[in-house]
Amino acid sequence: MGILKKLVALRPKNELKVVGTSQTNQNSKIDYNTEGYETSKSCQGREYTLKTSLETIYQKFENDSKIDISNQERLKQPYTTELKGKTTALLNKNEEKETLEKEVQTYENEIEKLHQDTINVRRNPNEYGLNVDKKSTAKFWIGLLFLLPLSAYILIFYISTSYSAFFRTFDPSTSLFQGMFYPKALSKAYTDGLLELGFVLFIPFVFFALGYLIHMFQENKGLINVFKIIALFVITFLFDSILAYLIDEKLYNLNKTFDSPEFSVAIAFQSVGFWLIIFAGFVSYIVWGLVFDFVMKEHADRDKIQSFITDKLEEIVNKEKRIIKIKNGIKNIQDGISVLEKRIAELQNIVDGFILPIRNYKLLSAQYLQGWQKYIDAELRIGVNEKNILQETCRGLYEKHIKSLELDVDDYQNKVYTKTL
Amino acid sequence: MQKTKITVELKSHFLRLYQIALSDENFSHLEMQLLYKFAEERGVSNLELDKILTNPVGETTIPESLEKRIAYLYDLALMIWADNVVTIDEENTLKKYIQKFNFLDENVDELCEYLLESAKQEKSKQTILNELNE
Repeated sequence: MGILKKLVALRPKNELKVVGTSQTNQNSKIDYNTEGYETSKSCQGREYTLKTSLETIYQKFENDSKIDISNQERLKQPYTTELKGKTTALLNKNEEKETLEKEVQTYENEIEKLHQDTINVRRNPNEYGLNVDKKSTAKFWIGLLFLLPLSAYILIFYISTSYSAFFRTFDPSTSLFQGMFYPKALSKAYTDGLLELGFVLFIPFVFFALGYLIHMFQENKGLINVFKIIALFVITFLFDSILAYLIDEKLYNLNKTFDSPEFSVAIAFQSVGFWLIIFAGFVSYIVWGLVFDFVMKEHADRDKIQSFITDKLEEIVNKEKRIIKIKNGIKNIQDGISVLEKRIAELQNIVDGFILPIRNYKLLSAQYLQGWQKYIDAELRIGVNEKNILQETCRGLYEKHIKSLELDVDDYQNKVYTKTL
Repeated sequence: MQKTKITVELKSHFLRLYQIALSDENFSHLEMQLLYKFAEERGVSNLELDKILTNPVGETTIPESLEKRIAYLYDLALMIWADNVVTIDEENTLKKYIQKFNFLDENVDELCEYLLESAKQEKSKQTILNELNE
């Protein structure tokens, strides 16, 4: 036979363990009944003595309950169990709270770092993987400062040059400079007609567009782009040369004598005016293109930093939202903790205090009264009326006593005395 | 999980397990996990288990068959070992239940020791039940 098999013999079903409470109750019933009877006998059932006796047995009952530790433990068992359960729940809640608080701390640190990043990125963009010039903002504004007057200059130059080249009739007093620059170009073009005005107004934009295209082609690397750029320069140069040639030809024809040869490319190449027009136009056009390219590049750098900062700010906002959510969670947990702590304190006070099984007292005191009245009924020798009055008085006294303990209305089993400081 | 009807007997069992887990003043997460594992084995959902534990009112009963008594007591022993520590309180609580399960007083200590030893060796419940029928 296995060990276990030997150990598992059961008690016969009818042999229950004696709990002992019914026996004790029985004894106490006899005791209190007899005590009531005996005391009543010794004082002739007097009501004043009953009052004192009831108070005494209540005190005795209370004291007995206090020192009956095992019974106290039994009575406190539900509270002790609840206390343990609540304490565990509190520990869990605290742990949960700590985890969330740590999470908040991590988010806050991250936000702090992001804030630092948004500040530092302007100083050291390379640290953040941004291949940009940190002084891009200043360079951008300086570049723009040059670009705007240059644009105005190119606008004026080409309006006046193109008007001079295509529409103007020169007279002998026209000097080289006046041939190139004609202050009344716009108003004259306007008087000549709308088409003339449109022509001179929009021709500078051909040069702006050419400059813009050079910038665009420069952004992409490759041999084809280099050829495209060279082609654009050549075209612009040719266009400028044609303008210069036309103006120079007009000036030449004015001063021409019979001996002079016909105006040709060779003559133009030797003319100072021709080259001056080319340089005043073409070179300034190249300068404009370079500055424009430079400004665009700085602007792109500024854009990179700006978008980096915007990204980081967005990230900060998201993290802050998350923090608010977690903090709400923490608040809820904190509320839960407060409720638990309150209940734990209550339970602890109950466990530290003592519990009076007051219903039992009602039973005992009733038995006592029963014994008391039994004597009056059976042995006290007084008249029937007096006997009735005395019984009534005793009953009244007992009820008053019970009422003073609030046992008449409440139907709770136990009275809890919490620990007080 | 298949929903099973929770009998008073099963409810009593979980309350006893909870009591054992609490008896060392420290309800560790290992004990908590084991409690939920036992619940799962018997087709009781976490929600239902929580309900039983938070509302422990009503009568409690002990199982009828010998096998079930031993199986339930072995669960208690496993619960005691869940946190790898056996306290006097836990041992006493187990002894109390052995008595309540109507085993002979003279066997209580030995049976308690046997169950705890088996739990320490992590024997399966089936092994214990087989030993019962040897």
